[in-house]
Parts: sequence; C-alpha cells; structure tokens
Amino acid sequence: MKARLRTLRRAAWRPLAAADGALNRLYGWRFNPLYQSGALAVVLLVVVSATGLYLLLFYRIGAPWESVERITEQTWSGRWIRGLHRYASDAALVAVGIHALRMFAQGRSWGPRALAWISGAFLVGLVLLCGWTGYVMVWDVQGQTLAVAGARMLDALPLFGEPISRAFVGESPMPGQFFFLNLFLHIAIPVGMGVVLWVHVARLARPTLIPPRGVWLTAVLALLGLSLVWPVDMAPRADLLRLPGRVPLDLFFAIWLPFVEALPGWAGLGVLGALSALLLSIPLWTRPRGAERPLASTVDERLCTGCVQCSLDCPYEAITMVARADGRAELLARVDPARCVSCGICAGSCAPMGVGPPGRTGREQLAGFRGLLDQAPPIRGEVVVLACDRGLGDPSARWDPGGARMRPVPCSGNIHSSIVEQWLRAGAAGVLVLACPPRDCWNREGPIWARERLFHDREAELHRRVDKGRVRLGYASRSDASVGNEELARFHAELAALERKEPFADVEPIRECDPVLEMIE
Amino acid sequence: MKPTARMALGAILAALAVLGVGAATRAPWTATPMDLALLRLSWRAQSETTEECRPLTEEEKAELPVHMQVPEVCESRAVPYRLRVSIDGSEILADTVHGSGAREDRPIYVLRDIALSPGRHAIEIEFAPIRGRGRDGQREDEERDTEEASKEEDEEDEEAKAIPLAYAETIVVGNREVALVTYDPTRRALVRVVGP
Repeated sequence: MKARLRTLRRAAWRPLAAADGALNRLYGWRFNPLYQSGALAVVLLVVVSATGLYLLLFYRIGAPWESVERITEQTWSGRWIRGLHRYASDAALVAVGIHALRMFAQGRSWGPRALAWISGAFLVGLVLLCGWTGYVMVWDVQGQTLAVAGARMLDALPLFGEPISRAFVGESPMPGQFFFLNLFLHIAIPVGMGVVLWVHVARLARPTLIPPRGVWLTAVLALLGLSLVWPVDMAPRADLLRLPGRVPLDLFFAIWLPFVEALPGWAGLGVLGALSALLLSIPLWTRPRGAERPLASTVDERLCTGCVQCSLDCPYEAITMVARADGRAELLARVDPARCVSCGICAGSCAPMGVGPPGRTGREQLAGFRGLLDQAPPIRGEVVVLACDRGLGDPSARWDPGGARMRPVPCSGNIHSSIVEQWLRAGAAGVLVLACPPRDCWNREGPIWARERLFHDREAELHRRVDKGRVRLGYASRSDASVGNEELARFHAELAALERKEPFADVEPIRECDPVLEMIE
Repeated sequence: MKPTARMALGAILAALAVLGVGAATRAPWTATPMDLALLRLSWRAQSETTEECRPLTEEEKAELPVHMQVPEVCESRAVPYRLRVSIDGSEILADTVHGSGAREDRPIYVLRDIALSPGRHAIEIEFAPIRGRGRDGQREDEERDTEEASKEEDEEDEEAKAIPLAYAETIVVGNREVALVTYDPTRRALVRVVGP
C-alpha cells in the first residue's frame, strides 16, 4: 500500500515537475502559472462572479434560452462577457485541478492539512455544481442533457415521492419555478464557496489569494481575447420531445456526461459518489504511518526567550505565545501539534535554537554539521551548496554541482543561519543556498524567510560579521538543473571577483555560538 | 535560448493554452445516434388502495404504550398495475407497477423510455389493475374480504376506482423524436402528446 502510494505520488509529481521546469525556463519562476494555480483559481472565480452579475441583469427565467440568445447578440458587451464568464469558469476548474494535483503529489493532503484538502474537495464539488446549474440556465441541448442526467441520478435516491425525471418528459413546458430555483442555486453556491474558501485557508498564515499582477492580468486578458475572437455560440434550444443530437460538450464541467448517460441512474450516482468518497478520503490513506510520520516541533523552555519570531514565521499558525509557568517574565512559545506540519521553519527563526522538529532544531543542525566535519575531508576554498531535498537536492534529480560540495537540506527555511556561518568558518569559499521557487515551497514560506534571514536581518539573521558576498540564495525546482548550473557559475564568478581574503580576517573572533556548541559537546 | 525567442515561445504556449480551453468547452459529442427514436410512457395514476387489517396480539400490545394499544393495525397498499407494451405486434414490455413510497400506498408513477427505430409503428399499451394480487402476483386469498370491502367503498366514489387504461395507435416518429404517451385526466385515457 505504502509503495503503491509512493508510486502514485511519483506518477503525479513527475509530469508536474517537468512542466514546472519547462514553464520556469519560459516565464521564470515568478510568473510560472503552475505555481499560482490556487490563487489563479480565486481570481478567475472573481472574474466569473463579476461577469455573472452583468449576465444576471439580462437573464429571464420566463424565457431562459431566448434571453441568453439576446445577451449573445449584444456584440459590444454581452457576447464577450458571456464568453469570458464561460472561459474563466473552465480555466478556474483547470487551475483547481492543477492545484489539487500539486498538493497530492507533494504529500500536502493529510494531518494538519486535511482540513484544507477536504474543504478544497468541497470547493471542487461546489464549482462543478455551480457549472451544472449554469449550463441548465441556458436551457440549450447541453443544459437539457445535464438536467435530465441529474434528474435520473437524483431519482436513484429514495428521497422523492414523485420521480424528478417526470418534470423533463416534455408533457408541458418547463415551469418558471424550475429556472428560478436553478438561478437561485447558481447565485447561492458561489456565496457558499466564499465561506468554504475561508475554511480552506483558515489554517494558513498569510494565505496568497492573488497571484502576481503579471500572471492574473495575462490570464484574464488571454481569456478576454479568446472570448472576442472565438465567442461562445448558442447551441440549439432544449426540446424535451426531441433527443439531443450533437451537443457541444464542455469537457471541464461535463466530461462525465457520456459515461453517466450509458449507465442507469443509480450506477451513475454510485460512480460519482465513489469518486467523491475517494477524493475526500485522500487525507486518510496518504497519511504516513508510524516512524514515517514527521514529528511536530517542540520547544526547549530553557532556551525560549519569548521573542515571538517563531510564532511570526510559522506558515501554519501552529505556534502561539503563552505565559510561562516558571515565573520568568517573558512569554513562552507553544506548538500546537494538530497544526504543525513539521516544516522546520521555526528552527531557522530561533536565535537561541530552542524550537524545531526533533532532529532538525538549530542545535541539532550544528551537531550534524560538526559530525560531518569530523567525517568529511576538510574544506578549502570549496563552494558548499545547501539544496532543498524537494528541489535539486533530491538525489533522484541527479543534479551534479561540479566541484561544489552538495548538502541536501529538508527546506531552505529550516536552515539556521549559523550553519551558513559555520560552513564559511570551516573554510568554504562560499555557500550557495538553492531553495525551491517561493511559490513552490512545500512548506509555503521557506525560501522567503531564508532570504530575509540571510540578507535582510530577520531573526535568526546571518551575523553581520559574515561576508554576505560569500553567500548566495538561488531558486531552482527539481527540474531546473540548468538553473542550478547557472546559479553556481554566477556564484563562482562573484567569488572570484571578491578580494582574496579570509572571510573572518577583519572581525573579532566572537564565538557567539560557543554556549550552544558546548552544550552539544 | 534568446529572450525574444523565449518570449515568443511563451506567447505561443499561452495562446495554445487558451485555445485549448476554447476547444475543450465545445467538444462535439453525439448524445443520441441519428437512427433512434423513443417511445416515452409517463403518467401518474391515483390507484385505489386496499387496506389489510389485523388485531394486535397480546405480546404486541404489551410492547406498546397504553395510548397506542389500538384494537387492530391496518396497512394500506395501492393496487398494483400490469403494464404491457407491444410494438408492431410483439410484446416488448410486461411489468408490474407498484405504488410509490415505502409502503406502496402512494400514487403510481409510470416512467419508461423504450427505444424505437424512426418510422411507423403500431403501438399497443395496456395498463390494468391487478385485483386481488399481491406484490409478487400471487393470489392472496386472505385479502379477498378486504378487497370486496374496498370495492364497495369504490362504488361510492367512482373517481377513486382503479380503471384499466389502454392505448392502441399507429404512430410515426422521426429521427431523435420522442413519442410521449401520457394520461389525459379529462378524457380519462392514454393519449399521445405532440410537441408545439
């Protein structure tokens, strides 16, 4: 089971990582739309809501198809607004699909993230339901087919006295109440989606709901262009006394329709129910068991100074500051294990090295470093690459950093700045930290905090005595071997341009880390 | 790759992506083949109900609160119907239709779609109550008295009586056309509904 899950994840991750790498090369990681899929979906749903408000002004429940046809005939407004409404809905669903696939492939679907996954699955369901009602609103042949298929499936539930399908036999025209109910749902569902979206991001600190302007503006303008050059046409009007012939099928919202059409109502409902159950149960069967399960961060109360930095940096709001019980005046950090994803970002934020997941606190990083020095040959003039093991540090990425010494790290945000300093003290010519692109960080904010700590004096900052010219932070995804090579080449050039001097030649040898090192020893 | 070439490639890829969205939103799909038509039967019948009563046993009474210890319990059920459909002389459907609801005491709904080839067809439909027959079509002698009592009540209210319905017509259906046969309450007969 475990091996199968790993294979499944790898199968999902490989094409995604390859696509990430390709788009990084084309657009750069800042504007890679694949990294912005979740936020892009939000923006597109806002576009759908805005265009939907306009369409609502002209929609008539007494004459649905005719009113949509009139909208489509408005060359200067309705035509493209309807097109944008449709295309943005489809693109939002694509973005949601990519977002879900990324979360699954990166193993971000269980434990503290289960709430986000389950609420996300509900959001997908609501988007699909909203699209369903939207198509039925038009009351063309596709709307008819969707309505009839939906009624057949609902009739399989032992809930209704009279079969709902009888409303669609064609005995009489569809009543206005039906379209009123449909319109009501089409408006109420997005309102409900707002609430579910709030739940979706409730456990995140600083959720990113808007992608960079360049990304969302390009996406919206591209879809607007599409709606201008290839507007959405009217399909034939629904006629319940005629079987629909050629139907323009929306593969995003109605790809299931041909399959369900071939099945009895109960079987169609069963298949949709099984797929929903599978989606909702992913947090259960992707949860690592036993020793594989990463442990939540812990706080060493003796070392905690109550500086609140770990609480500020935690991307999952898992750390709160509480009053101490031992009489000391300062606050004490407390980790909520139910929210902690064991990202280790708190370990990098703690100057006295008192917090972090077991085995990855600043102190343990230092101990590991010293152990490494004892075993490995001495470093003289080498470049050390600290690469995220979800990026180029992943052994399966097979990136060869040439003559540089490679050291995989769990996350760039987990690296304590003292480690960078210690590498330089040990004789490294420079330290290149290769983080994942910020929007692709499996722990959300690792590369952001790494940059702040290394170059912008955010606690736990890289000490001022360190020559920052000998430190570089680059961003490369797992498929960006060429970016890794470029970063390395640039860094070598920068180092060569530096004066040939010892990194610590002009500073007092203040051994600030001594107390900690002594504790380890 | 040169920046201009990269930009051009990026623009082409973006254009292809949005064109892909445009194409996928209107994928052609033939929902129904051309050489298919449908005979659709759809009506609601308020069937007469039979009521089966029996006295409560002492044990059953003992399990009930005092205020619920009625002398007898009754279970009503709609009289089932036999639905037969013949097309061009051959019987293609013979089914028993029961009342809706968990206790089968609610109205009977008929909703059947029967595939036809387009053209002229002689359609015969029979929809008749199965008197004195239980769910499985077996005679239930013990129900006779109840049934007779029910018949007496029906004489008082002719409207409520389960009446047999029949339809025998030759119809012409076109490609992908639905021939809908339903119940006309004013004529108290099965009729074909023709679209506008």
